[in-house]
Amino acid sequence: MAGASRPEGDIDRARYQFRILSDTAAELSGVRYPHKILETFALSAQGGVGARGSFAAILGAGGFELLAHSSLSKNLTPEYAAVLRSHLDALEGERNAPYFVPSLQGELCPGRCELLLVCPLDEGKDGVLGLEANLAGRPYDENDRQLVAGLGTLFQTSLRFSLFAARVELLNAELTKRNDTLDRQIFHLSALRELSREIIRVDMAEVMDSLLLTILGHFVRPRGVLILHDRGTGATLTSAKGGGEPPRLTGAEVDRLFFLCLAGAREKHLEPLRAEPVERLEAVSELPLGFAPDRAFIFMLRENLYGLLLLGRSLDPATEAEDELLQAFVSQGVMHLKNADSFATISALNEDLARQNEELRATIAELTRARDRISVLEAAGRRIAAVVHSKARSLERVRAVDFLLILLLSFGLSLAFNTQNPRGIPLVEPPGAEVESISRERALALVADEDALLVDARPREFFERETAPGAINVPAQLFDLVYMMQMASEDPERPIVVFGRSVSRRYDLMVARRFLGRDHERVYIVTDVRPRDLNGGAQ
Amino acid sequence: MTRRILNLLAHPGLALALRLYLAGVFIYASLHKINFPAEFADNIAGYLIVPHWLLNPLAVFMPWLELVCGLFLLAGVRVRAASLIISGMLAMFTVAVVVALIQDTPINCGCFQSVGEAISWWTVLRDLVWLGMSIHVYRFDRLVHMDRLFMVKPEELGL
Repeated sequence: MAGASRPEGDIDRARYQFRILSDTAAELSGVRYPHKILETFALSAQGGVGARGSFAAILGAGGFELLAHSSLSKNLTPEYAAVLRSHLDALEGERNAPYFVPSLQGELCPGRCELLLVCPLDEGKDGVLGLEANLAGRPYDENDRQLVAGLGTLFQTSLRFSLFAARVELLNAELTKRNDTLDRQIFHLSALRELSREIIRVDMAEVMDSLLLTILGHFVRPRGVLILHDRGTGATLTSAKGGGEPPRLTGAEVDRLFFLCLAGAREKHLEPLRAEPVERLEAVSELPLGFAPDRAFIFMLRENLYGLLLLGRSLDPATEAEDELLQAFVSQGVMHLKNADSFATISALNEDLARQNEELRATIAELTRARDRISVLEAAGRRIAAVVHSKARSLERVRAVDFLLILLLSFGLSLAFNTQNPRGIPLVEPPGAEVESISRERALALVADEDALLVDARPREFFERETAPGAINVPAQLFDLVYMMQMASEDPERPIVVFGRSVSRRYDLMVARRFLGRDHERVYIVTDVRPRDLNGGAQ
Repeated sequence: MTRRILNLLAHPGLALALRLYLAGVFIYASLHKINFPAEFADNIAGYLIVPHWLLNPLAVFMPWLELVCGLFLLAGVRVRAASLIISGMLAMFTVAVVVALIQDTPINCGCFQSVGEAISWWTVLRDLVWLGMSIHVYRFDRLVHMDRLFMVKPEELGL
């Protein structure tokens, strides 16, 4: 009987344990959170073995991370957790399945746990289950231990899944947060890109208008003013959007506005292209801007060129992210303003360069003309010098034209003077009367037969040196004188034979013609005969 | 010494003096012959060198050639050409006188006057001296030239 009841008792006990395991598994199947698992597990184990109290905890490296307990006679302390941790770390061997730790049971356990089950988890963590003494006062037997070990397996599995799930949720949450950050950054970047597309212009006024409009539209601000002030020239460029008339500020007011904004900025020393937010704007409201600025930025584009952006109050509540985006917008806008200013400067330099090029071209053309003129003048100078040199050389050189000049001059003057000179002579002998020329024999016959007169017509010097015997001298130059003195009574019928001519003078012909002119009828000349070959006989 | 003598002989001043002397001689010699061309023609005819058809033109032309050359020498115009012509005439005269002397032709010189100056070897020597003077003028004369007086010198142009 006793043997039959015992097996029935064991079966009931086993059924009971299975039911508890089944119920616990069913209960744990819908549980996601670790602390719920801990509570479920602690209560199931406590109820399953009829313990007085229980606790279930997750033991990490630094102590209990999560703890659930029920009807514990004494609270668990961190010191106990530290002792438990060090004890578990001291255990050797592979720890995968749940196991009991008898060495920490009893008095060592703060709640006087009679059973202490450790379920190894991931990442150095352990699930710990502690059960105080049985309510019936009996010690726990093997069946109790098996039940607790089975529950420990469920506990271990559930905790692992729960911790995985919690970790996945944590990762999801972190991912979501990062996605939000990324979305915001994408939004900022797209907004900046849109700003760049809007204000990518080269004209400064257009850039200012586009920048201001974009900022006002993007950040829902109804009014805004953008002012650029050149302290070197005193020039001011203003762009105002929203509201009515743009503010009309005098030069002094602009100076005061920039002074107040600089005074309100945190950083007083402005660096180029860096937009400095103005923190104190109370004093600025006193100036006639037409609105009360809520945000302002002051910046410097280059030396002496400052800029000021004043924005009215936003219609939407401002957030920190929007402030960062606004700062980015302004910085981006400052860059574009700088680009526009640089472009204007480059354009001005280009225009100046083009003007200088034009002037240089004109100068070069002028120089070229001058050089050509100088070349022409130099060529003319060289030509003149060559002419002068040639003339000088010609004066030193004997030229044919010089002879021609002298000869022609002499010839002309001689002809002219000879024509007018009463003692002039004919250049060509005029034709005179014909005189019969006879031979030597006939001349001798005339002298011998008819007592002809033999006359030597040459000058006296030649006559005296040599003449024909019996000849008389009647020179042509002295004909009239000699004729008058010696021959005036001569018979005109007497033959006269005249001789004496040279290569230069035909004296015989000249004298014969004179005789003919004196009415002598028989006058002859004999030529080509030497005087000594003639003989005049006794005259 | 020799160089100094040569320099002195080649001095332009000496050439100028000789030029003026020759100018005076030829101007003086031409004046009578220009006025009495018939007498000069008879003198030329005495040399028995010039053909009869050229005698009168030469008697008319040659005194004027002497006068023009003398005036050119005096004024310093075309000096080298004038001195060359004078040299040519002197050479011709010298040859004629030498020929006449060799042939013992009984004539007068006819250099300055028509009568009274019979030719001799002194005449030849005188003509040779004048010939040397005219060559010296041709070679070394460069002072007081009228035709250079109003002309810009090349060095004055600075080119």
